[in-house]
Amino acid sequence: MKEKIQPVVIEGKGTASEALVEIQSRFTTQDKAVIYYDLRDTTQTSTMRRLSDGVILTRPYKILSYQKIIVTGNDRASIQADATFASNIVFRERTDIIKDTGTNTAITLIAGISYSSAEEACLFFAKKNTKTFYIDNEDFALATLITEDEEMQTPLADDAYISDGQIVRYWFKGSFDQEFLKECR
Amino acid sequence: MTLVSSGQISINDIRNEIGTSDGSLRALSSLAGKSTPDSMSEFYSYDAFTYHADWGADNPCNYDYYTLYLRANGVYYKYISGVYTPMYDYAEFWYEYLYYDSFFDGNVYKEWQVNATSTVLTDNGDVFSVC
Repeated sequence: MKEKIQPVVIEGKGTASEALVEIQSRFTTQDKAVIYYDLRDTTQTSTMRRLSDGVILTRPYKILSYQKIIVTGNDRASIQADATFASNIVFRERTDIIKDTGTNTAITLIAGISYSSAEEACLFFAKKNTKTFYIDNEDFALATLITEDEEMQTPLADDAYISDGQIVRYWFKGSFDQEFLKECR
Repeated sequence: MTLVSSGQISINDIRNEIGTSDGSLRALSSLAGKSTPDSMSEFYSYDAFTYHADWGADNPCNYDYYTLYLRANGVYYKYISGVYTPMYDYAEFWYEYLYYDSFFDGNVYKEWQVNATSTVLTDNGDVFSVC
């Protein structure tokens, strides 16, 4: 989705005048996305109240208008036809990102049962042998998107994994914390 | 709580759906936003609840968010698991998420106050919160 925005000057790059929002091609009727945008006048200020203590804060801008667009899976047809949304909004499918809604699978890391590597968990996932994966191997801590829960009992949502329909990949955190995609093999 | 899509509908069925104890067919049709001439069949599959918003109750940091509906009788309800509850019966203050403010490093919400009959929402302005 492209939405006209207040132009933003990005040093060395030029001026951004559109925001781009992309949806997954298997966006289902169970999914809902809420897109927020606002128009700001940075030559004016405005106030807001801090909830914790009632102190009035001054913002270096004034919100001239704001809008929410709520998109559900039921809207996909009109989104793709660009029919019921504003004329400056264009939705484009991300066919390279497919949410694996077929199994609704997520891998949960729970201490107690050991497996050797993230790849092994990935393989189980790819074969759809399990909907819950139990692991306490140290290597798995590097597969950052498998779980973020401190108690390791809350599975991440489906987008922990992406798939092109053939190969399941997972995010892997390497040295210096850079993340990259690794394929399940 | 949608009315049936075929068969018999009574005036009481319509009243129950709209949430009013009395009223003629014209009065009920008016509440439902239907023009004359009136007909009971216009209420087949009628749902008196229209989506209003998704807001947080009482304090945005509670992460106590609900989908809210406006009933044709003018009452705002929170909805969860098939149960509609007038907004005020749950909380007087509600928070609509607006955006993340990078300058103050926190979220900005619009604070709404609902009256005791859950029929009027008052905009109390923007509030800032860090959770």
